[in-house]
Amino acid sequence: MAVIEMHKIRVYAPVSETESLYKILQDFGASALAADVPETTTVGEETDFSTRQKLARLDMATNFLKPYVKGDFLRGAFEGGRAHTSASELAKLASSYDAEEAISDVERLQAALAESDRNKKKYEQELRTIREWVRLELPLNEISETAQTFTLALRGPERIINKFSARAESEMSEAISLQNVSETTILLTALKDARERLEEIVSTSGLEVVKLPNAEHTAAEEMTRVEAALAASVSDHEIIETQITKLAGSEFSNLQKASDLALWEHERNAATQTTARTERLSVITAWIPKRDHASLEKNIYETLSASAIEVLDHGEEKPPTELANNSHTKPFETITRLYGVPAYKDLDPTPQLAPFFFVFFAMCLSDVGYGSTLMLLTGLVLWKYHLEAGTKQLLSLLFIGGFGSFFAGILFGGYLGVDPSSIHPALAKVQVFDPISDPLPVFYLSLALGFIHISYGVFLNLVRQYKLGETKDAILDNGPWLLVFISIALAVLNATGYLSGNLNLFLDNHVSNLFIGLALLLVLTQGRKEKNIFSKLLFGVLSLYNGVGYFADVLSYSRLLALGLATGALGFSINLIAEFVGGATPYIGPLVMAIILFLGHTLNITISVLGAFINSARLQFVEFFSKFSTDTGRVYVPFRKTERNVIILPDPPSSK
Amino acid sequence: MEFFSPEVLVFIGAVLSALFGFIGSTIGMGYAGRAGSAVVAERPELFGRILLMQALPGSQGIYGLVGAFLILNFSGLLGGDVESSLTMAQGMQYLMVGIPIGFSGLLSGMFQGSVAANGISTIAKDDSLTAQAIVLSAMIETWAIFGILIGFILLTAI
Repeated sequence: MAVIEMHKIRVYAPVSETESLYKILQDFGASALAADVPETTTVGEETDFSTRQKLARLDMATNFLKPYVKGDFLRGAFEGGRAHTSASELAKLASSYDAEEAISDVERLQAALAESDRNKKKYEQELRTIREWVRLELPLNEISETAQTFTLALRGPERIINKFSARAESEMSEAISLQNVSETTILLTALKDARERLEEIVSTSGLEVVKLPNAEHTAAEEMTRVEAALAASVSDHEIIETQITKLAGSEFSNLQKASDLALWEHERNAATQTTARTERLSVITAWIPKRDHASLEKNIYETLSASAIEVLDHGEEKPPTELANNSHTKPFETITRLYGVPAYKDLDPTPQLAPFFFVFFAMCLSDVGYGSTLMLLTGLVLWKYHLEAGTKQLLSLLFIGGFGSFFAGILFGGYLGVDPSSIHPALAKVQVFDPISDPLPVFYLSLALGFIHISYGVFLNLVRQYKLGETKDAILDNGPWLLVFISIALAVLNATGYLSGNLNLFLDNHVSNLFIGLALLLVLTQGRKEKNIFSKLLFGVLSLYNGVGYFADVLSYSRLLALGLATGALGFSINLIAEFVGGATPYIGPLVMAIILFLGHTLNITISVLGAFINSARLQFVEFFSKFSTDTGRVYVPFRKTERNVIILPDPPSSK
Repeated sequence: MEFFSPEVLVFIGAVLSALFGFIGSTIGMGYAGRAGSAVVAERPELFGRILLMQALPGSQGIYGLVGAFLILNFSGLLGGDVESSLTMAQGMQYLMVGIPIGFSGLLSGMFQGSVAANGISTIAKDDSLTAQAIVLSAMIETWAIFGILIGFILLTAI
């Protein structure tokens, strides 16, 4: 339950076996490549154009076919439509499947579909043009120039056509002939001598000059022909889409697998070509978790004809950070990673934040109905689908959060906004807090949890500094504050009557002296790193101001009360609205009520879960981490087979 | 209930506390949300961190809500106690409690949103600076917390 110890290793292998070495590293999947270039080695350029081109074509084919794949919507949403496969199936596919034929089919169908789309648009455009001239009885190719005259087909709103006709006839009636074809189209025939003047009138009129098709038929006949062509084009489009759907059904999964195989091959090739090397040796530098070192070493020695591995001293260089937590706290890594992994050798906050996050989330949601719904939904998804590691962790965290909210709901009386005593009197008996009618106890509980959380953060800083070998600073920086926190806790317990005996007597008589003594201790210890006595005292006194900061941090935990209240109040309002609207609606009142309840509570659970998650995380990042975390580290990204289009499952027993 | 009764003054105090907190958070989250949308369009993998940055100025609304509840609870009006024996002076005191909570929430929410928006730009450039961006933005919230702190102290003094 900590940050994993890393080894920086250097592997030497014959140049001819470089790709084999990368295959071992990729299959092993637990080493992060470092960009070191040792002296006396050179680095080549990446020239793996052929695999990159193959990968691009496979990606094009999979992207094109993806919308035509019939599948489970939820599986697509949670698994990203990735194909299920196994290592043995992939190995078989790599040696036997030729994707070229499928890619050629995709390219052919893609071109055919584009051609069909173009034709469809062209015919639709022609139809829009011709439809307005359907009453014209002349063959369209006869609307052309003669030796003396020319003809223009004009279209526009009826009002503008009328205005144009009036003007043209009044100004040049002897040179023109107008034929109204429809309310919005007009055929203008004029003498060529009047062309210049007429074109000026047309251009200022706002009418559009239409170019009619050069057809031997009338507009009506041409329209029939184009309609038939459009219908044929639509039919072609459907046939092509059917063919694409069929191809997607038979080839999509194989293309996905081939695409990932090509990606892995390309990554190996690119790494091989850019590896630092001498004339005969390739030199690869990588970070590997110490626990995996021996296993990888054995793998390399057994596979390559000759190789050597040395462990390097990484000196001041910071290794990448990888976290290791048990199955109970692993889901809480979501919160740590959201903030940024801790620096190498620093404290992994995951197991520390886990119980607090669990309690905070539970208090913010605090509803039996919402908690059980969250558990049910996330549990179903986790059970049914193969999820990516990050998604799996997040849903596991929400499942745990739902579990906590269920029990918090019992303690806080949260039952989908319904009064527990109206459900069953026993529920009211087990209810400990009533945040709506008596919020103060929940307010104090929230502040008490904040106080514990922050005190624990300061304690963790003490542990952290101690582990880093800074024993003196660990004790003097944090010890006095921890004493202050313990004293405050005791004083509050004493004031509220929870203490008795000698401790009670001592605090009753000496509580002021105790805090004056602690203040003096803070003044004497917190400025000790300054150079002279005056600065030491000044900074010691100023350090007392941190107490205000700690107090402000504690107050921030009042959000636990507010979010719990908001969940219950919204649930109550939804029930009220549903009851009112349902009661006022004749005949279908119960149905309307059910719809409002379903939609309202779905909305409330969504908002409340989001609020609970974000605010519980925020209390870790801002109030808790700031007490002991100093830096974030570099994420460990191993060189492995990225499952972009496939999910690799274990081989079924029969194939072994 | 008369128009200028002590109960009405208490209600005004609760409304000031909640309303200005809500407005501050709305404006602040709006600033951060706009910056976040632009970043998420370019780097969708940062959505989680951006969402967290956008949520930071939401605290003021929460404090406003807590403040309103505390005012109503301390004054004895929570649950509709119409037979309360508040005086006009006490009503005015409860009203004044809402002022620091509400106004510190309004202004700190707006400014925190502005800093959070810049923090989002910082994260877009280098996501290893998330922690620093959160801390810078959270600093401003201190004043909203002090607002609710003084509100609480005033309530215990009435």
